Amino acid sequence: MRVIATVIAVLSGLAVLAGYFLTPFIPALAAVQSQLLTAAMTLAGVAVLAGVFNLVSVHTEKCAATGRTAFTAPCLSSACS
Amino acid sequence: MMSFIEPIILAVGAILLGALTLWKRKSPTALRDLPAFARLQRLLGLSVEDGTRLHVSLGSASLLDRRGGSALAGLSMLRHVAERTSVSDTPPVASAGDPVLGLLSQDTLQAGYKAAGAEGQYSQNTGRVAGLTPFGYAAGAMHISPTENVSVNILLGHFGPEAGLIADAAERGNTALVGASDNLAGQATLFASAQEALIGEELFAAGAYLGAGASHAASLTLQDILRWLVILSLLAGAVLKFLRLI
Repeated sequence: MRVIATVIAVLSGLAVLAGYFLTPFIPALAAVQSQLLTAAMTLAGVAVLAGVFNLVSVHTEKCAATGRTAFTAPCLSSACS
Repeated sequence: MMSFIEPIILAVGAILLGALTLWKRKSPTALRDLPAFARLQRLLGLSVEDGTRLHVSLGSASLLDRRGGSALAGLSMLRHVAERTSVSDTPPVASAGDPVLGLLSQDTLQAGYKAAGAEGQYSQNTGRVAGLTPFGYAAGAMHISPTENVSVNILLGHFGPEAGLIADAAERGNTALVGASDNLAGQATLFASAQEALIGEELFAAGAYLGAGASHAASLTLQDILRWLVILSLLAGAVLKFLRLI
């Protein structure tokens, strides 16, 4: 499974890179590049959502497990974000 | 003309990297001493013996922009740390300031444990997103050191001046700090506050110094070759300009 993920990532990267340089010779690459970048942005958006859940769960667990000082980190982090 | 130069450089770089990797597998390179990496190797062993934790801060770089290189260097370090310290009672913890980097840190930690044959000891909470902006991340990461029995902080990635907050928290907790950033302000902050700081491209040498593989050593040689090519191009340009040929 890890190999398949790596192969997909490498091929996607190469296709995007080829899109930058070879579009004058192979116009279809522009469409492929655009689709891949759109997919990457969507995935990054989902990752942000997962990151926010991770952020909340980690700080919640720390607050529940330790004392009053544990509240400082989420408060400071939220204030700065 | 420019559109041809860039792919040619990329292609030549990739071919050279492949060739150099094969060469380095047969004859390993002798690397100059970097005190930060020598100390880090010692600290890794000490933390396992002490039963204390390592904190790897990966910074707030996004993998989707040009700062992603430093984040990848940090992930390479994390993989090494996870493999080396998987036998410890307290697993290393990684913090990231970018959600994609946070997910990758979890994956890297899991891969490190798996490679060390200790996949059962992996806990998903050891890879975490500490904040979503540089200062938010620093505010979240600076509390890991004093509250989670951390003895060594490794800052490797994209850090700005906010690195000073994490360094200050490490100093107050009397923990060791090894730091490197691809940002000039971050480098200056870490140079002044970390016990051992890595300057410039030494950040990208972490894999080679920690024995991550022949490709990492080959990348150092490739950096040297490309650096010499840039120097020669500059000199050639200066000479041609002097002779009024360009």
